[in-house]
Amino acid sequence: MADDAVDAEQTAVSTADVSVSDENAVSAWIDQAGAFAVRTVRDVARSWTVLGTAVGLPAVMYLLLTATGDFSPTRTGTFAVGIAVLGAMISSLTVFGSQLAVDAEDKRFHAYRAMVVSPSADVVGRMVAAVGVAGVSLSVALLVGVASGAPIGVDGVVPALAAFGGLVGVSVVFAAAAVPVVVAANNERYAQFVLSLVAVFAFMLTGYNGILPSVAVLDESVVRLLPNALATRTMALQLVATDGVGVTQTDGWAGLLAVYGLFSTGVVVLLVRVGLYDRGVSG
Amino acid sequence: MSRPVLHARNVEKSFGETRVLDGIDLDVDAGETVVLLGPNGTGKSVLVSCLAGGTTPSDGTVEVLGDTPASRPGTTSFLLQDALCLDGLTGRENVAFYARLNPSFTDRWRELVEVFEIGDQLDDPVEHYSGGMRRKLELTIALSVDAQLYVLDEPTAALDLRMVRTVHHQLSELRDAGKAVLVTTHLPMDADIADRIVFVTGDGVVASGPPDAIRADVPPVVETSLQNASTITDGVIDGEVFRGDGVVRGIVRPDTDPDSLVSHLPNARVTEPTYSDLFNYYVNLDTS
Repeated sequence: MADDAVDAEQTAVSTADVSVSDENAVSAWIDQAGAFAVRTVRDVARSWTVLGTAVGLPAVMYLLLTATGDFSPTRTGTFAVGIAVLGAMISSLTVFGSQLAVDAEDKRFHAYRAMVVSPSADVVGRMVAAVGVAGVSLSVALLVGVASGAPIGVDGVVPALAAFGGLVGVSVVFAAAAVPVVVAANNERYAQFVLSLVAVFAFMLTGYNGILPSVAVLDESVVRLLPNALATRTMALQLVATDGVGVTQTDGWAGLLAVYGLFSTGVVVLLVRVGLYDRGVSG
Repeated sequence: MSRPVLHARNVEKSFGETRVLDGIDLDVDAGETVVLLGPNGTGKSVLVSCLAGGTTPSDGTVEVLGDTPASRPGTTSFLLQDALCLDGLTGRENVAFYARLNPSFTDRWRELVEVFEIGDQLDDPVEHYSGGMRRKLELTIALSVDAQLYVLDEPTAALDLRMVRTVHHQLSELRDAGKAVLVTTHLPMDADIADRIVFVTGDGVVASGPPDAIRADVPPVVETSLQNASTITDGVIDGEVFRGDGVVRGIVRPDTDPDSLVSHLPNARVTEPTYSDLFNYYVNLDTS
């Protein structure tokens, strides 16, 4: 009798109380994404290492670079934009990647799996935070440029939206690039070091994110298709307030950047699902 | 016949060539507390991770309420040792994070932070917490989840004796509320709350049963002073004596009369096995 009662209660629990409706599932997904976003921003806001690297370093780089010569206003403007985008790249890589690395190192994904956390909510939440910090980094570098006399400004909603699109696109792509490093490193300090290098190498290989193609290691025909160059050239064309900024933009840049962003998000969700949320069926 | 909340059969887990778990069977019923005792390094944490859905076994089956573990929220609350606390956040922010993450998280954390005496430190960064405070915060998070099964990996590690009793009381309340509770530990006093004790070694489950039954299977214990240790070794299993509080204890061999072993010794007596003796008998001695 008592056993039957326990059985009946368990059946009821398994079919009703614990079941989650579609509506609740969406609400839970949003809550989980929000949890990761808020947690990431809180953590980064208190980390002088990450703030110094992601926000401070690009501004200092800009000041050092422009102090090395007498550059035209157009050149200082494009330097400011190129280095500001570098800041966004470093931010998205390190913010997204270091948080993943901390969780992987502490074996926290075992707990997340047991809580039935959605890998896509995890990725989107962290990515929103990474894009937010990247926006702060970009803004600080641009403001430093403005303060030092670079002709930077925004003339209307459309240019602002175009620049914002460039920021989101490049941030998402570089956040995604952090995942293979994190999965391979399984160590926060090592991962953070490598992630910063990835951003700097990308900046150098593409000729300051495509604003100085003459110093790029990669061929211009390749550089003009890469997401950091697409985003930087978009912002340079929209934000540098001089006639002719000395760079050309690839036709269909917005669509290309959107494809990069969507593809990266899909790949990163897959990588996080397989690399971090997979429960290791075969050990 | 009632269906266990947790039902595991022939659970195996390997990492590469290293086999960590080999054919573990385990059930936990509703309203039952099972204490899993075993030495460090025998795969207890890996086992509970498999049972809670944190890791998938290499072989065997695990069911929670008839389903694969962690196939839906609200079935299991899992405390994995040292894995929950986020150092960069305050205690309160940690609670808020897990509250948003887990749809089954309840307001019980408000009561638990007072019970575990961390309410006043809740706005301090967790990186400044002691090991005991971290454990209490993790317990607050795990026990605030409304679940049918609680899987707790060493919940009393790093806690003082008074707080261990407080944790025991909380776990007993869960059991009384009809929840299934599985606790791993290497602290024998955690067996106080067990409805069933399971001893695990590198060879798998070596003993399982209610405390009285499992105690009844252990031979008598002789206790004497440290100076007399060598005089009882011939009569105890494996010739092994265990030190504690200025005395030594040994578990009497089945072919030895316990009274004859102590009759000629001053300060010696035959006594009932404690949980520490049970642990030594099943885990540290060759009783085959």
